[in-house]
Amino acid sequence: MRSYLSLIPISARVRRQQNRMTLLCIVISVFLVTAIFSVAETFTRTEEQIMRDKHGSWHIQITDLSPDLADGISRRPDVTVMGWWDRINFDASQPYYIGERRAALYGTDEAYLVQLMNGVEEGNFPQRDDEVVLNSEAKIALDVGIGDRVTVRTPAGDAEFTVSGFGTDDSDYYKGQTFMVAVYMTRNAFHTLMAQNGLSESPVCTIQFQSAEKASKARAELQESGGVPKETILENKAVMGIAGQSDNEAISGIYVIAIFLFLLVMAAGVLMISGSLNSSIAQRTQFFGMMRCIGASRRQVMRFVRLEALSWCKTAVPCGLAAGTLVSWGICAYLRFGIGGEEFSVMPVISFSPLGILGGVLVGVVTVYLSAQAPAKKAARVSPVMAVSGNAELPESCGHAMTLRSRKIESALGIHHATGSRKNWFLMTASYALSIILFLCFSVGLSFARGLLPSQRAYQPDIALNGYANALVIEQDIADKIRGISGVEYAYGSSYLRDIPVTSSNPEIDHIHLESYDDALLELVKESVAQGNLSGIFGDSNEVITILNKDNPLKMGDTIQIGEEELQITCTLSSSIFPSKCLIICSQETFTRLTGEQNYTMIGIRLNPQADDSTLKEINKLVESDVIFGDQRESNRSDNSTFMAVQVAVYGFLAIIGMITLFYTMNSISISTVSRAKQYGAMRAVGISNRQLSRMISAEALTYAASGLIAGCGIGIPLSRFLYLRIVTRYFGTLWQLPIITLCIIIVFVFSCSVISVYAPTKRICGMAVVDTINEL
Amino acid sequence: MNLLEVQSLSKTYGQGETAVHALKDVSFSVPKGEYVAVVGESGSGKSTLLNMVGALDTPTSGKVLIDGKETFSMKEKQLTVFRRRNIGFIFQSFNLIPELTVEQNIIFPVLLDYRKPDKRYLEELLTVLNLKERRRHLPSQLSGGQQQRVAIGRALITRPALILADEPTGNLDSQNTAEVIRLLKTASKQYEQTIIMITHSQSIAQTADRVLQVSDGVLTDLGGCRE
Repeated sequence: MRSYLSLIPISARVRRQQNRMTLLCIVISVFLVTAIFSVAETFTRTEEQIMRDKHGSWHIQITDLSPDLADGISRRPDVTVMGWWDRINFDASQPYYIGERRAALYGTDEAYLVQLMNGVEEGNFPQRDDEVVLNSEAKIALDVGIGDRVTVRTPAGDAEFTVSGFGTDDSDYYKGQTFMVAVYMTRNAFHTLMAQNGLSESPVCTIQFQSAEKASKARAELQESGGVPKETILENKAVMGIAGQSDNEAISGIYVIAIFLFLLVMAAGVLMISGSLNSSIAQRTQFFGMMRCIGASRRQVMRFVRLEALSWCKTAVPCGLAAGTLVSWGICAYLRFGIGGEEFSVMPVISFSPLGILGGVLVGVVTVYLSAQAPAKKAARVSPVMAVSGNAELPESCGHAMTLRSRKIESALGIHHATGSRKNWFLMTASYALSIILFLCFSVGLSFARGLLPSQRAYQPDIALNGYANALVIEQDIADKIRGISGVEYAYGSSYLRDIPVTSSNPEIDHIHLESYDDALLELVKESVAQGNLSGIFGDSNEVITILNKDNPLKMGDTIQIGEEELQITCTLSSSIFPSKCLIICSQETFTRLTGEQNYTMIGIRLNPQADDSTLKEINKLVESDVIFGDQRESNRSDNSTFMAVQVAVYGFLAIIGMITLFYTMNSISISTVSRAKQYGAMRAVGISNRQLSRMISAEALTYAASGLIAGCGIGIPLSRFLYLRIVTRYFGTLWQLPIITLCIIIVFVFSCSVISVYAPTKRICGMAVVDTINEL
Repeated sequence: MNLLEVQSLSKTYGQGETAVHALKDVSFSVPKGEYVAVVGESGSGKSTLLNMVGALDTPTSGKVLIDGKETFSMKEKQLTVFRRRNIGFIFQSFNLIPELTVEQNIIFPVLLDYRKPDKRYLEELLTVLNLKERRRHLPSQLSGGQQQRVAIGRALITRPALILADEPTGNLDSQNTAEVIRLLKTASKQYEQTIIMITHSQSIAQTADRVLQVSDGVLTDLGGCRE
């Protein structure tokens, strides 16, 4: 032994069993932070890749750039790639066509479309001026392949091109879109077409720098010394934001959540570790008394306790890091292979996160150091008398006598142990209550998320056929034909007319928008009914539906007069296909009677798993050029995977909170039994049975559980009801109901916590010889 | 008739070279109503012997019979109830339950048996122990001597045949020591209870009917003192 501190490893070897709980607490804290941060970092990296794929790898775009300045920029050493693009008819409003479809025309160079946007999916960028790249959806829309000839019709005349490849710089915009086609040609070809049509060009310069940081600097320089106006520069928010060079809210949101969770876990860690250190100190009062007796100063005792705590980090931190990293791999694997979708299918599974590891180490060491402060002071306060007197230990809870009402003395004593120390009782109750409140409130959050994501609605279509500008152009028999195509699960039709003048019992209303649901759709929306019922709506009737939300002035019971016809609102739904303000929904028959219109505005189609390209082609064949063909399968899948990920995140977080509560409870019961070990020994000597002893400890744990449950539900249920009314009922109309299943889960969880926390201490006390329990302290 | 019979009791801690023989083949018997003092140096095995007699610890070999019943052949549950009803313990460090009042501490073993305490007997005990005024006090509000009297009351409440006291006066001053010893002797006589008490004090040992000495785990009967 070189110093008195050499006693630490020796003592740690002897007290390995007793230190297990503290080590476990440190491991859990490190594990949680490592896992959370590793997943967050991997997710951010994946998101960065997705953003690059989706939005390109450029940093800034400049419009109206003079040739001289462009030349200057291209010669900057920090510029890696510079490309150009220009386009017309992006909104398909002008008479440019390719085949029967409307065409958006692009003039770009290879640097832009290939290097910056990674936009050519198949074939090559046009090598000659009579070649074009079309967006991939054009293969279905125009039924063409590479090498085929296509004709671009412009007001000034036709131009023939050969298809050299497929791809786009804006896959989000063209996804599932067969109403219009994107045509990418060389800048020369574009220039010729523009000249023929008498249009001026406004090319945009797109620049990639060596790094986002350099891009940010260059942007400032260009504005200040280059004289480039601020409004002509556009930054790639996705790429700049993820590198911390922009204030993209989604990205910084992830970091804020991660930091919030970090602080929460750290606070819980301090609570847990501090608790178990306290218990460790309480068990060794005599030892510290002895140290003081033989000459250790208070400062030395404090240093001893702090270093002893930090020495546990040597084993606990690496264990926590390893467990956290492994679990983060598991979560990433689940997100990638279990949930998938656009967001997660490219997520790397096995990767090391420097942030996660650093966070884990930091939380381990800092938490332990902070947690050791109070126990160290407590140990330093131990009087040297403790070493010579074995009888100085009386629990703090002997301030008042208990009243014996129950004949079961052991239960009464257990309850008294729980309620004896107000501070401890409050902390235990608060710990349970916090978990319960969070659980109830997060459940409301999930209901809100479900309402927000359209894919969670029963009638969300995979394919939507929509009349251009919501025109009533789709004949009813098209829906019947679509139902007959193999691969179609169901199809429904809906008609929509805007701004119909009305008179109403509600004075705010002078016009409405009228929408029809055919019978198939009315069946599908049954689960969205917020008030009333749908039975009176079917067929030709005077009963109609409106949408229950804060923006809609129409209410249940209102009457509406359209021409000679009086309609009454007898039902409200939580959502609708078309915008819900002043919206009246009726059956198709009623719609035809009121307006004389037979055609649909849109047809929604749900495909079954057997659907393939031929299904889409057949549907597409039925559609005229004035109908927008929207393929929403990918966005539905993406929504579903987002919802799954939200569920995983929410339930994962709740599991962590639950686990912290469980460990806190286990620790508190363990501390309580350790501090009363001698008392239990005396009770056993005077004849308490093991069963009675375990009943006493159980009564203590159940008291905490019951008070936690009462406080948690007492605050949590009204709070969750309030939140539900504020965010779910208000936006989606769904009425609040007592969350019975959630409450059952909470009750099972709380009582399971008690049972688990009682098991080990009871087993330990009952397994000890009576003599040992008397001599425990 | 012998209330207690100890036959060839041995207790060894550890194994092989590190083995410590705390008790070596100890045999003795105690008739009903006798007051026995056990003396010996620290670490001689006195407390080990008392723990074995009280069935708080298990021997390596040998038997203990209380009122003709062999304690170590009983199952844990049976033994707990037997201990509760037949043996009273008094510890040097009192070991009272801090949140219970004097009266509650005394009736605690009866409550563990889910029985109603005998009120008359309780009053009698409180009077004998001079605790009537303090019946509603918590242990922390009592002096050491008073706490030990409560512990004696707790040991007597079930009218056990055998009372085991491990240095009951170890933490008390001379006046309280004399008081506690007087009470124990009174109880022994009045309720015909057998008392085995460990003590370091020769003067206390001399008040006993018989003195047993333990030295290096070996028991020697030093015979009666009072006669």
